[in-house]
Amino acid sequence: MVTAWGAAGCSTGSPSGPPAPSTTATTSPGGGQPTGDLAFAGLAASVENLLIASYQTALGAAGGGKLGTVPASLTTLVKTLQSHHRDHAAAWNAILTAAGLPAVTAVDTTLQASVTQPGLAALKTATGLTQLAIGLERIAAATYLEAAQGGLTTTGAVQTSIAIQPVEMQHVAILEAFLTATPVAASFASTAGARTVGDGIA
Amino acid sequence: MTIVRRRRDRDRRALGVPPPLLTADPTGSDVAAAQTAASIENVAIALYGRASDLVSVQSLGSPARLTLAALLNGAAQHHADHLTAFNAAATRLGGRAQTAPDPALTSSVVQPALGATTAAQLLQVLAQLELAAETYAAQVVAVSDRQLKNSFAAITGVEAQHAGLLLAAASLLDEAKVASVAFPWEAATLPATAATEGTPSAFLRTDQARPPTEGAAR
Repeated sequence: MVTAWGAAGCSTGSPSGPPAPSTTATTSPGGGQPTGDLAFAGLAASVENLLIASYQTALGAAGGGKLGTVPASLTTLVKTLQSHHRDHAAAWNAILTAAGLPAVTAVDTTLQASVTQPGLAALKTATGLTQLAIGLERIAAATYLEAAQGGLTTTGAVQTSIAIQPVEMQHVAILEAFLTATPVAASFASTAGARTVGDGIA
Repeated sequence: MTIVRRRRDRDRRALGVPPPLLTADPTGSDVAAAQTAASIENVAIALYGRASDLVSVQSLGSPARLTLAALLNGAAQHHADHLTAFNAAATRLGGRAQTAPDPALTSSVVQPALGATTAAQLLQVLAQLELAAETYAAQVVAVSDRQLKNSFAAITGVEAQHAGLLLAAASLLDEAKVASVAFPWEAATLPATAATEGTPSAFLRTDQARPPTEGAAR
């Protein structure tokens, strides 16, 4: 189905993608870690990298028969979500490289230690995979909402955040449809569980 | 209202109270943006309120009919909450609540929705209405009032969720998989691409955002 919501796999800066990188945030005076919006861009890229890697591990477990029967509808969805997160990581890294900083290829180690490592270790079923994905997508959505609501200061960064946050929310709803009768329970998005700008690059 | 606000600000300065962080926009552009958003929500509430009673939905067998009714009624409630938030912002910023529907959407969305001959068509039109998300995303960077900005940001994603579920359900109906239109999905019998139909893009666009003054109260 072709809809006004566009086609999957949009690339950075395309008419369907986020705005072209634009930020005035800087690195710290000593030339060390980036600050401000650039710090958030690094954090966001690392969160996206973690989701990409976690989904890859989960898909590997599913493909190896370690999760029991995993329906094709779920594995196809997880692959699509993973593709979106690659695009999101690319968008944040484009902001970083436009500012003369290296792209972030590492994962958010804080989130990895607290959520994905234990979550993946305990993963045994398709339902568990869905629940883990919902948890990760909620954290990503909350992170972008908090950033868009006040953590970010430059227009380009805010635009990128608000272009991605609804997609993470959409991921949550579609995943919830595998588990619940009311996939959209709340009228307003929440910042609960957000990783914050002050967290910096993990 | 402006005079009242000036007096209030003068009094706050006299008391040594810092000015409010969430400043009103005396030019009215924030008011217009809030009213336009409210006018879009008015369209949504009216349309969702009728959608589950339309023949195209009522003619579906259960559980699809009941599932769609719950989805549509739930969305209607969300939109009512959004309307309350936007009108609260409009009045707080010195404007008046917008009780009228967005005139452009009334013709471009409401009429096609009421004229839809199948439930799939209806859901696709409703998904178009949820492009309100684009309007709200555009306003996140445009408005100056912090509370209004936060409301736009917090609501954008929920509209995207509505759209995702509508698109996924429409896809199932398009493929004559009526029995699969039930939440939670019966994953084992769900077509492989059904869920992905509900999240078609990696980024929310804003090229179909409604003009921020389109639904301003006049």
